[in-house]
Amino acid sequence: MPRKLLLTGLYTDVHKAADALDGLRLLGLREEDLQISQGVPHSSKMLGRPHIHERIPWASIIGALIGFGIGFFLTYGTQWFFYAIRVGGRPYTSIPTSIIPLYEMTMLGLILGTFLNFVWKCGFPSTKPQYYDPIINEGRIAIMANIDMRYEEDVRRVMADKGAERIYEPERRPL
Amino acid sequence: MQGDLSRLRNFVWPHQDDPKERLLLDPIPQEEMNQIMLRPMMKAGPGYWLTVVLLALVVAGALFGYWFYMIRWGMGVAGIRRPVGWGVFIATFVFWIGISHSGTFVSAILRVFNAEYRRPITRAAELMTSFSLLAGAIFPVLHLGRPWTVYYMLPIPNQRLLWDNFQSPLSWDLLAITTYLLSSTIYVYLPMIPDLAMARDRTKGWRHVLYKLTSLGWRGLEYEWHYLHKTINIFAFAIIPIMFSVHTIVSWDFAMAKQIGWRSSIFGPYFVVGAIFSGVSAVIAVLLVVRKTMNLQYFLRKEHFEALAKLVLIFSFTWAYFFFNDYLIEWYGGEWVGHQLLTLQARGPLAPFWYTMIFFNIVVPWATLWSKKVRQSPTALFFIALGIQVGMYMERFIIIPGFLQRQRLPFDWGEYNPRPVEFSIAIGTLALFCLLYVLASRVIPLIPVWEVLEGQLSHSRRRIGKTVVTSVAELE
Repeated sequence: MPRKLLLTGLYTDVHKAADALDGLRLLGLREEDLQISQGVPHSSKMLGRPHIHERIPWASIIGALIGFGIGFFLTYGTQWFFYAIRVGGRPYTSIPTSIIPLYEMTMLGLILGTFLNFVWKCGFPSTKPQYYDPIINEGRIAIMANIDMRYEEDVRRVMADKGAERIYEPERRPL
Repeated sequence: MQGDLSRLRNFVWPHQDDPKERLLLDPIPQEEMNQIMLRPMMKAGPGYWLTVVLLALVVAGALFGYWFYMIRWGMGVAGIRRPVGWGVFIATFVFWIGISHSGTFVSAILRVFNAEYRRPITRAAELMTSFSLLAGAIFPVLHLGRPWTVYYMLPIPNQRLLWDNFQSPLSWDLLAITTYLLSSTIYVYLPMIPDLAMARDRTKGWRHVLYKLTSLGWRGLEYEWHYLHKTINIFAFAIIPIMFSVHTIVSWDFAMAKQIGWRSSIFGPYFVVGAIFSGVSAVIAVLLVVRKTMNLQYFLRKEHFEALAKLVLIFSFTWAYFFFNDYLIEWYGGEWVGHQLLTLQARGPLAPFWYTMIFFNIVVPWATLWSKKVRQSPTALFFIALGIQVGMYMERFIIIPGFLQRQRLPFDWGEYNPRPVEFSIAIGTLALFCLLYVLASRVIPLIPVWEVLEGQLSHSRRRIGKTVVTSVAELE
C-alpha cells in the first residue's frame, strides 16, 4: 500500500490558490484529498470547489419541534396532567395566551438546535492535535493535499508553479 | 448655446469621496489589523484598573449593598406604595430591556439587509445586548422582595406541585427574556470563534488557555466557514422575531392590565420602536468610548457614526409618531381619568419628566441630526445619544409609576416619591453594565476582524463614465 503524505502550499491570494487547485486536480487529485484553511472566508465558488451540502435547516426544524413540544407540555400538559390553575375565570388552557409560551419555546428550540448542529457538524470542541498553521490569520490560504508519496515531486512542482509562497509538510499542533 | 456653455462652466462634478475615508476601501495587511485589535486588549494601564475598581465599588455598594439592605428591612424602604406598585425598579427594567435591542437591530437586521457598514460595529453592539439583558434581569428578581423565592417563576413545580401560570404576562416575560438572552449570547459568540482562534495563536498564559477553550479548535477549514456562515444567517433571521417579541411582551406587562394609560393596542410596537431608538443611540455612545479608549480609529470611522445617526433620526420620527398616536387617542377619547393623566404630564408633577422626554427624544434629534456636520461630530453625537437615554428613561418613568398615580376612582390616587435605595440600585445596574463591558473589552475582540476583511474583499472602486464609484460584489 503506497504511503500517504500531507503537503501544504501557502498562497497569498485567492487567484493563485484557485489556479493551484485546478493544477492539482489535473494531476489526478480528488476533491476529498484537498483541504483549504484560511483566515478570511473565500467561498467554495471563488476557489472552484464543490458546494458543501448540509442539513442545518433540518436541525433547526427538529430543534423547533422539540421546543414546541416542551412549550406544549408547559402550557397544556401541566394543566391537564398536574394541578390546573383557573385564572380570572378564563379556561384552563386558552389558545391566545398559550401562543406566547409556545412561540418562545419554539424559537428557543430552533436556536439551540441550530447551534448544536453547528458544533456537531464542525466536530467541536476539537481537543486532539490537528494540522494547522497560524499563518492563515496573516492573509494566507493554505492548501493541504493528502497525496501518495510517489507524486510528491509533481505536487510540489504544481504548487510552486502556481505561485506558492512556501511548500511544506505541516505538523499536528494542539489547538 | 452660450447659455448652455455658461451652465456647464458652473457645473460641479459629482463629489468623489476619498476612498481612504471608508474602512472597506482602505485595506491593510491582515496581521496589522489583528494587532490593532489585540494591542489594546493586552494593555491595561492604571486608568483602566482605576475604572474597574470604581465601577466594582459602585456595583458592590449601590447595587448589592442596597439590595441586601432592602432584603434586610423589606420592600418598605423603597418608595413603592399603593397605588404605585411599580416604580423606578420596573422603569429601569424596561430601560435595560430596551437597550438590549441595540445589538440585534444593528447586527441581525443590518446583516439581513446587507448593510455593509455594520461590519466593524456588530460585535460591540451585540455585547451590549447580552450585558443589558443581564442588568435588566436583576429587577424582576429584586422586585420579589424575597429573591430566594425566584424558583416560583421557573417552569418547575413548587413544593405543592403547582406549576407556573403560563397564562400570565410575567411568565411570558421570563420565557422571552431567557430565550433572548440565550440566543443573543450564542449569536455574539458564533461570529467570534474565528477571532478567538486568531487571538489563541497570538497569546500566551491564561489568555491562551481561555482562547483555546473558547475557539473550540477552529482551523479555518472550508466546511467550518461554510457552516459558520449558514448558522449565522439562520440566527440573524430567527433572532429578529425574538427581539420583537421580547419588548412586545414587556409592553404587555402593562397593556394587559386594566390601568388607564396602559391599555393600548399599540403598546407593543410603541415599546419596540422606543427600544430600538434608545438601543441604537446607546450603541453610538458606547462605540465612541470604545473608539477613544482603545484606539480603534482605523475600524470605527465617521461613516459608521453617520449611518447610525441617520438611523437614530429615523427612529426619532417613528417614536414621535407612536407617541403622538397614543397621546391623541387618550386626549380625544374623553375619558376623565385619562385627561387627568395628560394634565399630570402637561402641568402636574410629571411635567419636568414629560418636557425633558420631548426635548431629548424629539427636539434635539430633529434639530441637529439633519446636519451632516453634527452626524460626523463625535462629541455632538455622544451628547445627543446620552440625551436620548435620558429622554427614553423619562418615558418609562412616566408610563410606569407616573400613570399608576391615577386610578379609575379618585380614592385610589396617590403620589410616588422614589427613595435613595431605588436610585442607588438603578445606578448600580448602570455600573454593572459598564463594568461588564469594560472587563469584556480586554478579553473579547470587540471588532470582528474577519468580517471586516470579508467586506474589504467585496468592495472595490470602478470607473463609470467620468467618475469612479464604489462597487460591492456579492460574495455568496
